[in-house]
Amino acid sequence: MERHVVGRAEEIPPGGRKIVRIAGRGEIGVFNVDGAFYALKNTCAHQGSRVCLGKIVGTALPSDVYEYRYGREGEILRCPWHEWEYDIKTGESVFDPKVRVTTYPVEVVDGDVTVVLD
Amino acid sequence: MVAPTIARERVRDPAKMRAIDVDVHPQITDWGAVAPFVPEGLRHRFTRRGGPPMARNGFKVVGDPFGDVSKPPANGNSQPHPAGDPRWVKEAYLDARGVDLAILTTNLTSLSVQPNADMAAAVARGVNDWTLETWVRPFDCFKGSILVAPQDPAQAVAEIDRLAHDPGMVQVLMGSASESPLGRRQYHPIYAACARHGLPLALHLGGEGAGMSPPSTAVGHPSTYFEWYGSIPQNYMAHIVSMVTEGVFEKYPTLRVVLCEGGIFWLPHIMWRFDKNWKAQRSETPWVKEPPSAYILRHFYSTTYPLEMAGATELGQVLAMIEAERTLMFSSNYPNWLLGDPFAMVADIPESLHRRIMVDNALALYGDRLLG
Repeated sequence: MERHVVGRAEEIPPGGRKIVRIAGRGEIGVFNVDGAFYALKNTCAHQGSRVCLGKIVGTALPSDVYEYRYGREGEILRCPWHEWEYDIKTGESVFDPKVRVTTYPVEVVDGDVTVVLD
Repeated sequence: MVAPTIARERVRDPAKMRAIDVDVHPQITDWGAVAPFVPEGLRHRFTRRGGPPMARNGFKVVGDPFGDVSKPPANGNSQPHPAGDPRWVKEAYLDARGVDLAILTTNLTSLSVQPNADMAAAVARGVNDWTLETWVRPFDCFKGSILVAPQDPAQAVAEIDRLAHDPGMVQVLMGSASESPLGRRQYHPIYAACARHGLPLALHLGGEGAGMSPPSTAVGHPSTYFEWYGSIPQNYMAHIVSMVTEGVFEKYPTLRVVLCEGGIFWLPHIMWRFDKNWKAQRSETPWVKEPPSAYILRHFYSTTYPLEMAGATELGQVLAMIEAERTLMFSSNYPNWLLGDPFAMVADIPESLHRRIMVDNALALYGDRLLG
């Protein structure tokens, strides 16, 4: 198991992100959602674009017909190419949980944000 | 009016059925015969100068509209219409070709875009009762459709409620020509009524471009019948996309819609494009919770006249893509066989699907209403 320190926790405040390149593994984006850290591979499940550069947004929640409920602000990553939406916490797309961006566990060790690579 | 009763052995054992035709068009040859079924206030409009006003487009069929249909013997100088007499249709078509049941779909596809909403509703009501009394009750090989005019949804709903429990009626029928895409909310009460009574809704092409209809193509009015007929399936494409995106099937999950005379080869295209776009664009219509193709395959049925005759291999591929083992039903569009014999159109259907398309899919959709 490989561990990679991305940076200090204070570098990535809530709502923030840091994208790092790890030799041999490509780019990984680390996101802070409400104080918890999540890591996503910087590759969209659709056409491989750098999804972690996308906007951090909310989404239109499933609703009854002609009802509009917007929610999950700050939890959704929207790909800059074709606007596929992903749950930052799970990497799953909002339209099909089987369509997902690769995720990695993140630990904070003595203030160091650490991505655990298998 | 007392209907004549004609004894006929009832064919109601599904195992013995050979074909169910879901699209047969009776012809009204004398509006005076319909007039007694029309509410009194508008009855006088049915007995003068060829009957009530009808919206028309500017086109006329090229060639013999009836193709190889058997025609009744000439009566002096006049040629009787091949769909004017129920006994003729029964004997010369159903019995001769081995069809056990026919679902009647009138011949008034432009009623849905007739400018006068009250007149359109009166026509629908009169034609429905005329159909029951002169075709359905005397001949148990015919089942009826509750024709409605969507211009005034409240009157359409009242007509559905009035006839939904009649054992002769198996579905609601509406022209696909309309003022607006059929997913828009003003039409939802009609769908609610269909769902409430467990009645499928059949749509039929034909009135596109007439009356209050928009042009029959998205880019404007075609110039010729050839251009018009070749392009009208795009209206089904627009209606399907509208009904799915506006949430009709989320609101009415039991509603089923039959698309008459539209073909099928364009369906895989719309499903694929629609699914792909939904992944990114679903946030505009967050009630569309499944891929659009899932709604299309679950809620829409297609008919075989005119089935694309592309060769067995290509046909088999498209049949698989539209799950034809559940969603495709035999239809003849009798007596309008301009494009060929409806039985020739189904000749390339694989043996494994043949019975489903000729009989079983209609039984599954219409259920006991066909067997009673």
